[in-house]
Amino acid sequence: MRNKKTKRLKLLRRILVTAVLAVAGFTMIVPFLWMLSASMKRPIDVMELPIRWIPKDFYPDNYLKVWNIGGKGARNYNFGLAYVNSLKIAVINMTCSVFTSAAAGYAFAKIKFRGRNVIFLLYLATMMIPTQITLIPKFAIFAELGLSGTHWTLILPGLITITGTFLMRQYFTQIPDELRESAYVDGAGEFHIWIRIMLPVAKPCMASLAMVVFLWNWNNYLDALVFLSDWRLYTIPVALTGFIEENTTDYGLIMAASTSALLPVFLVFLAGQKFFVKGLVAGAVKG
Amino acid sequence: MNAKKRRQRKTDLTGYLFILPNMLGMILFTLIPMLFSLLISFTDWNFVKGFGNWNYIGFENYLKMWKDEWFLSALCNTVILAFICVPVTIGLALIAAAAIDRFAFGKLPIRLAMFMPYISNVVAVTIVWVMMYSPWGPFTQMVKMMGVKDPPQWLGDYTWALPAIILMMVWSNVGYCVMIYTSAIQGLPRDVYEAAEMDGAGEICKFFRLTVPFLSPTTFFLVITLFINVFQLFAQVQIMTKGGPGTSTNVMVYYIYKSAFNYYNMGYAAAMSWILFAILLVITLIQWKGQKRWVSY
Amino acid sequence: MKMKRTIALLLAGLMGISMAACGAKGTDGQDAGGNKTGAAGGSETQNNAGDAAGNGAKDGAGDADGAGSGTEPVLLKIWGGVPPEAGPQESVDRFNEAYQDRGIQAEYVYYVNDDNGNLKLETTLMAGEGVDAYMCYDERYLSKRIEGGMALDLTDLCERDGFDIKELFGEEMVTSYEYDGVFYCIPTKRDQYGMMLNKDMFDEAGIPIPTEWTYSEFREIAKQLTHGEGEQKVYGAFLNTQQNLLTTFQYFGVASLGGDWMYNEDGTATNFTDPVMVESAQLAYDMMNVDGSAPTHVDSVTQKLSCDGMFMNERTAMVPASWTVRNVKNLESYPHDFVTAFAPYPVPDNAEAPYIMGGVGDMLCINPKSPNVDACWEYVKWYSTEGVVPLAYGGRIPLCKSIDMDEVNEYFFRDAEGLLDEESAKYVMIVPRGSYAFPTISPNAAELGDILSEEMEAVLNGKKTVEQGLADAKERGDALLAK
Repeated sequence: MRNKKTKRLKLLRRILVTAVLAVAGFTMIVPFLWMLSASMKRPIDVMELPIRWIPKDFYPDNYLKVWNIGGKGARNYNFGLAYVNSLKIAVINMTCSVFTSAAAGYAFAKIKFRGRNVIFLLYLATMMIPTQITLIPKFAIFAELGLSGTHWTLILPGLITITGTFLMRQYFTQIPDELRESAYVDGAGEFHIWIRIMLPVAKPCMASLAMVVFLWNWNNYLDALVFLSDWRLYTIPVALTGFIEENTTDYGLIMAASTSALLPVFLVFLAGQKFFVKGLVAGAVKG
Repeated sequence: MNAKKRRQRKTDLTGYLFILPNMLGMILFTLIPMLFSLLISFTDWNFVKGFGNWNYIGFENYLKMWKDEWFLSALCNTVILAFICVPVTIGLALIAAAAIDRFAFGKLPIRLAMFMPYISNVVAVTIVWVMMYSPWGPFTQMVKMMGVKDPPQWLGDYTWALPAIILMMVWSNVGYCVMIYTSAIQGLPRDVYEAAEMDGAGEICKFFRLTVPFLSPTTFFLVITLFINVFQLFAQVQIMTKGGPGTSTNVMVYYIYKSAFNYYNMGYAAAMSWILFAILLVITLIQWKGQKRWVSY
Repeated sequence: MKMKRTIALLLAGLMGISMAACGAKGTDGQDAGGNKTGAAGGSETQNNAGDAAGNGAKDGAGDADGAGSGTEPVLLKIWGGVPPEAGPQESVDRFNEAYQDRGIQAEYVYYVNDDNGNLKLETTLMAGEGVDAYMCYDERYLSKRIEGGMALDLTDLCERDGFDIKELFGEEMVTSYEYDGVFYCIPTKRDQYGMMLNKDMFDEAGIPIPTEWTYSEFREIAKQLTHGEGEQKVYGAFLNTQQNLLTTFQYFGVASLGGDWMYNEDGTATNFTDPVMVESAQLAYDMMNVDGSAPTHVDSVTQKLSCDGMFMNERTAMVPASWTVRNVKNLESYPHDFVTAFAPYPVPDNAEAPYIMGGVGDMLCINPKSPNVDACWEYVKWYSTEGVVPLAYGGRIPLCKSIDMDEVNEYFFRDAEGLLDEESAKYVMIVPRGSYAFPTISPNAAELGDILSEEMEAVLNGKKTVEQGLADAKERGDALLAK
């Protein structure tokens, strides 16, 4: 009897908490809903009060202008090309930096080489310098290497990530030493241990890191703005900023451009999320 | 003895090989630019004059900033921002992550919804928030609905502009923290929880006695990265307020950027970023020392 | 032990950097340029230039005896801040047609003329490639770039070709763009600005289009033109403070104060407490906060109001931004049917106003690191004396004296039947009206502007009185100049 009551209470509690969390989650996406709704409105209707969340009539011109379909736009912003560029850079950097971070993070956590604490502190320290100030020096290096203006300016620094290294180190620290030592005793080399034992264990962490790194690169704004000068090489944020700067008052249009920049990322992550979450929820929770 | 030494040397070599690719990138694109900026912080360099075209002026840049009211206001605002934003974000994220994990139905959609702001392009979401805060925007309307007759002009108000930016920062960072916490929660030892349940521990008790301590390394990581992120706040301010009204949202990196690229005082900007660095370093070191007390591995 | 190795690595890296600092050679420029153009996929707007680039790359890569002239044409990259469709694209197209046989082609690269856009231009200039010639729109940027060696000394080229800048563009106009007797740029545009008016609103209210007016007359008219409430309210004027808090000084007060309006005679102190400054600040404050004939500063900022939107959507009768005239023809973005007229800026009640707001603009410079300086010079000569004409379509008036003004008029009023009031447009925008307020000194101009803006913001938001705000601005500004 009592047991049943507790169970029902527990269920009630779960429902309640879920409701609260759902409201919180919904609040988080209100700005996006508004963006979506505004992107389909005529300029004048955007400011209408009370807010009409579902537009009176669908006004596709905003999107047509952004994507330069049917000659609606004053200028072609080459969003398609910018997409390809952004995607290329983000994928390369994501792949490489996850592995460089996993390797270094593992070494910092598990291999007791001399000077590792000093070097790790150095890593931490470099995280704290505002990127804005390394902009010009980086620029000098690229000019010297003959790379200025190319995508290499975004790819080369993006091949590693210090925050990622930090994250991986923290993760590997949590993994019990026994796992590694037993393999070590069996005579496996460090590299072998890393690939065969450690990387599989670190999959969830690597998945989240990959996701985050992809986003950093996808959204990298200032570097792209300063380093790229050829419109054929523009990435999404630069194309978007250019667009926003030129159409400051046409909110519907700006929202359409923002939606165009955001929606595909959402979709990719919605699609990929299942896979990621599978990794995350391995060893599932039973409430 | 000798064998031990040899083994250590082998360990060293392996370690360096593992960090080599990472280290190379770090040196070339972070460390060297950093040292370069240290060098120019002692000069009067104006960057359009080209490299090497500068005079060394000693510590002048480091001294004059303490009389520069723009710098002081930026410092003050940044500190306020960080010390409100970081604890609030992490607190909310910890509670949310734990609650989702323990109780919620439909974990996935909730986590996704919370994560959305983080994966969005900062330029795009900032523009959306400018609209949110405008008199006809949803945020202002919501505040009106809650009974406030004459809500402030958020971003145009001397008192409310900074809180408005803080709210947006919390909004955009919470999802990231939830996500990191979630992946850490998966690694928590279930048996300990079960044992606690046997002993009749309530949910709140378990949260404070088990979850919080178990997650402390992650919290440590998040505190440090968030502090750094918040201290480096830039794009939002540049797009939303340009530091205004007055100096009420002037933050350090925004002023550094302005000094460097609007006033062309590259040396001064570099000096200020080193002060920023020093502040962050001190905060990190304090936490590093302090973690021994509250972080349990 | 291992620390040493790390330090050695670091030192090696540092040496690399210092070498970079010493010998910044502009090499590999051709290579990178070639790669970029090779990647070109034509877009609709950059059509011609894109094609030219494509051809160039093909010629370069393939056999030399292929179709066409056989030699690879020089491709110039011209950076400008005017949207291509407002004239520059037509100008570049004309150039490419005229210079096809001479092996020079140009591509117009559009940069947004704001902080970020200018930063981008400057870093690209520093890299030494990617820019052959560029437009400067602001004296502050221009002088910094000249000091930094980013603009070519034009003396030799002018002498070689007998290109007399003073003769061609008017000595009184260009003198202030001579640095120590040397020209580093060619000013190409006559800046003559004024208020843009909604003529239909004026007609309705029975107010004639003014040809000269004082602050108090302006304020009175703005009051008369204001009507409605809330979302429907139509303001008499919009003061554009969200973009430039100094509008009433820089555009209105300048008629009395001259080009160096921020400084006293010798530039050793500010003149922020000058009676004209006080009057100008008071005007903005009164219109916003007393009369309600202009949107308040806070509204302008938080609602992201702008001259373009306010004027074209008929929410205000006047804006102080005649440079936005190009919107009038942009019926796609701004559907409207009212007539736009122009008036000079109002002048202070209590002071003489010998100057006209304006001067020259669109300063064209050559990148000294350009590998194609000669071709570039050809372009600069062509543009400044003839190629600039199509930009009149977007409201830009050429400076060169030899240009046929009828053609300029034709471009200016093309596609604008029933949208532009010809008489007032000619009077305010096109025909020279008097002596311009040329700036001659600019120590700490950017910082001073920011200080004054900050105090002005406090004034407009009611945090300080006009006198207090300007006094504080003067104190801070003088302290800065005294350093």
